[in-house]
Amino acid sequence: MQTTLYNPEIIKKDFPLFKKYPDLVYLDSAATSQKPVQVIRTVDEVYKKNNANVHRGIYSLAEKTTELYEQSRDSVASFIHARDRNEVIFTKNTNESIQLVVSGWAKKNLHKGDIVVLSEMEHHANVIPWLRLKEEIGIFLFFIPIDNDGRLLHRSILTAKLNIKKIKVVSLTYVSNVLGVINPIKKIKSFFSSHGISPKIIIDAAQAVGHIPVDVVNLQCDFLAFSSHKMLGPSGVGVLWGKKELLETMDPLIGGSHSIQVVKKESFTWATIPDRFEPGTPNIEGVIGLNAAISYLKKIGVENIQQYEERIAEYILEKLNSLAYIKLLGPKNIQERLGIFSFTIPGIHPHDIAQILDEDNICVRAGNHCAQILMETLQVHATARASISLYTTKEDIDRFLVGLEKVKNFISKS
Amino acid sequence: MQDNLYKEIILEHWRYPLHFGILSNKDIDVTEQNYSCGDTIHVTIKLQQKRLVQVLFTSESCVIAKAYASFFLDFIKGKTIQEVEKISAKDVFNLVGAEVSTSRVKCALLCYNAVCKGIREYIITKQ
Repeated sequence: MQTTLYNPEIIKKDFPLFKKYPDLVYLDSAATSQKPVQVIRTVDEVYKKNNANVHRGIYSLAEKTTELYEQSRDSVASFIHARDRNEVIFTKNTNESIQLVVSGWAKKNLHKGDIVVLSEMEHHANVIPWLRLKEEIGIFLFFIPIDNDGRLLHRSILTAKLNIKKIKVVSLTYVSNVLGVINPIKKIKSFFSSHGISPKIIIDAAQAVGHIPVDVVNLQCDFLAFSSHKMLGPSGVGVLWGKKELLETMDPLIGGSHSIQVVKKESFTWATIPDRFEPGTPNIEGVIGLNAAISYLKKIGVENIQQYEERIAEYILEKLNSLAYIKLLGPKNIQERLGIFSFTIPGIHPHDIAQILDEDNICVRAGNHCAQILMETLQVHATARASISLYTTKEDIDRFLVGLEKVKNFISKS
Repeated sequence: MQDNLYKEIILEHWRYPLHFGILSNKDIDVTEQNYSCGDTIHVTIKLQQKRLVQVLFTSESCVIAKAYASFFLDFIKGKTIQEVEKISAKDVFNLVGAEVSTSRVKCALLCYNAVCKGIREYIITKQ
């Protein structure tokens, strides 16, 4: 751990929200991250210094805005090691990115009876578009079950009485937003290859990007989706990365300005990628702000962030495992997970856990975390969830642990 | 921060809810869910000449939903359908007198919504 380079107290000072609320323990970064001043300033400066529409104006101001917007595409491409900048599509969020793949690629290329493999831990963003497609064209969905620690049991597909040759897509979360488990994407891809099938691999990387290095080439995936707001950037911006040859065959979700080449009364032609998928005026300041977020993450170093978060996560894991009244979900081994910890306390509802913690300015999430299928598997209807980011300190965790004691006392009093 | 959200009277109703259980002889049998968290409540009501003579609930829910159910059912027991129909969500909050944050409104109104739904369904089937 490079403690000399990584000082969370200094990092925390970059986040104005913590200046405003010095007493706040923010443990809901898996829902959305806080934003550093560098991102806030960049968004502010777009309005103050660079406000014009993109891809349209001839004048210098508009050219400058377009340049900044397109620089963000370069920056995203380099951050996830995409081979071609045109493989980066800006969307609204991860949900829209996945929907774009389902509507634009899967609907065109899958047929009745084809199998799409998901898992029981998927966020609704990676379930609903597929369920809709199932209703529409009759694909079959297989949900990979999980073991007691939340690991994928992908081998169970062999005993599921499926014609595995029909598996055309495997769409999985990289890191579960509930269990924190990191799924072995490459291993799963190899598993399918070893059985002579090469489904398209789609990755929901919303909880991974910014926390661990993400390399689309190394992951050997076909599509990868994530959101800006979970990686220190502005909300309202998502990314879909896809292999060029696949994107080029895809239809956009929405047609309109900028996404076309020639428009006549009878017909039109689509623009090339990525323009085809970005009709209308985009979230200009959000996209430019995302570039600032990436610069910030790069300055600190994603490997350093990963090491630091792992240290904090290990501390939480050790503490939560030692508390008899906490039922922690997900892997018990730090190597298999990131800093997302869902837990229950028998006898007290997760909403009440969150509310009692809130009395001491500790923010955790409570609910089903947009993962109702997983809740059913785990036989809980909600959990409390604490999640960390690069600004989370050990002191935050200690205060959270004191808060949990208060929750425990609340039950024993009752 | 809701200082009085967990005030003692609410905790009392959570620990020892009034009207807790399921009626075997009932005219209204309704389940309502809070879709944002998955909490459920089951309410059974026995009517006599359009009066709610017996009301019971069970729930898988948080402190707020359970305590408010206890308060609310105690309030409506003995009232006529017509009287219950006139009760507004605001009346439910006034009944308990605690501050409820926006994120907990659905919890507090879970039982109220169940009863409204049950009465609506009862009226439709009897028409």
